[in-house]
Amino acid sequence: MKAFPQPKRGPVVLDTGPLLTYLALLYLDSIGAKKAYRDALFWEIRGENRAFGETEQERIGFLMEASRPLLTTAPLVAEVTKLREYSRLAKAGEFRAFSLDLLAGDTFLETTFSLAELHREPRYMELTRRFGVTDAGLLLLADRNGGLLLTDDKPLFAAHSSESRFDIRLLDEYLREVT
Amino acid sequence: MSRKSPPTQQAEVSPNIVRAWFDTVLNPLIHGLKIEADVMSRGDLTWRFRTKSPASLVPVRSLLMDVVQDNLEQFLSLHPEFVDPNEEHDAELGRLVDSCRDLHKRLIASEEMQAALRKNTTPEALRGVSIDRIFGAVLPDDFLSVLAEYIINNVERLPRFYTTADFWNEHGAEFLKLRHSREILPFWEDTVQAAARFSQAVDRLIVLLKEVRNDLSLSAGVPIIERLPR
Repeated sequence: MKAFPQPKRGPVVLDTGPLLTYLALLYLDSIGAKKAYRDALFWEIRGENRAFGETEQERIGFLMEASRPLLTTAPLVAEVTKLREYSRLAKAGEFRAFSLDLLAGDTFLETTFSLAELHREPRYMELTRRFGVTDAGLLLLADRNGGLLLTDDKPLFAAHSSESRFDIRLLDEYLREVT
Repeated sequence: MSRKSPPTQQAEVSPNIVRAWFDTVLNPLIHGLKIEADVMSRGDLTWRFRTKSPASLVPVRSLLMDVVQDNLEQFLSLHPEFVDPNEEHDAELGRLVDSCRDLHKRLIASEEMQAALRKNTTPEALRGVSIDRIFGAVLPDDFLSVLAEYIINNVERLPRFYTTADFWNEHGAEFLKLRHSREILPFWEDTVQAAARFSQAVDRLIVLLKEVRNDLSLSAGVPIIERLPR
């Protein structure tokens, strides 16, 4: 079953964890990976306390399909393709090439922000100091576009205020939310 | 070590082997079983009509990659007390799969189910939305199977990014009620009972595996998790 276009809302912006999770899902689907290998990879990416079973895999697939194009940035792509912390993905030699092909395709839309933009606003400078350039840039993009930022990083919620024009959710919780 | 070694002598297994068992057998098994326990606790049998099987529930061996099956064999040869619980898990899973298949067949053959689909997919009921839009790439012959899948998986509401969300969130309760109709109820009850027995088998296996993992860890001086998780 394919997802169909939802009523227009702001774009989905993925933080590193959710983006890596989605890329891994597409990669595993592309090689017809068996459950044991899928479990092992998602365990490494999502961690012990985040059960990421087949229902979650189905849901993130539908969510992303319905939300194309997904916004990315160059710093985010750099972080996601580094793979230093993910030995299994790093060992899967073709994963990086597979990801780069996808990230350059029409599933994703690479957008830009400059350090000058972050620097201009004291609030974003403070966020940059706290969370780093990549996350501060994602927050800026999400706010600029009135988007939904999906993250695994609860501390990022501190960047959200009543004046924010974006929504921020934890991926695991969002996948289990129903309308 | 002899296969007949009593449990007290199992501490002789070298720390290297215990490390390998943890990393390739025990930790992945416990993780996989916890995923099973998690979905079962939510009533989500992860039934998929296309494969006629539950996506997240598999035989114990399938929770491990092919390349580590020899380590599982070695572990079982020295811990034969796990053979029966493993077989119990797989036997209960087999019964659950059989009952889900029977329930699925009965649901899609049910006249009440077919009538409910017809009633809720008239042009008036759909209020201008095309049925193809709701079911996406699913062929009309499989519309009932999609709904049967939701019924078996106890799906009460769907997230908005499912094409079927609006339809199911409006009419799902009516379809779920069919489980208690006279022609479906016996099959539904069989599935509920099979699910309960399978859940117990999963929980038992998790407890046993954790116990032996802890014993091995303390006796061999090998940490259960070698590195801090991210």
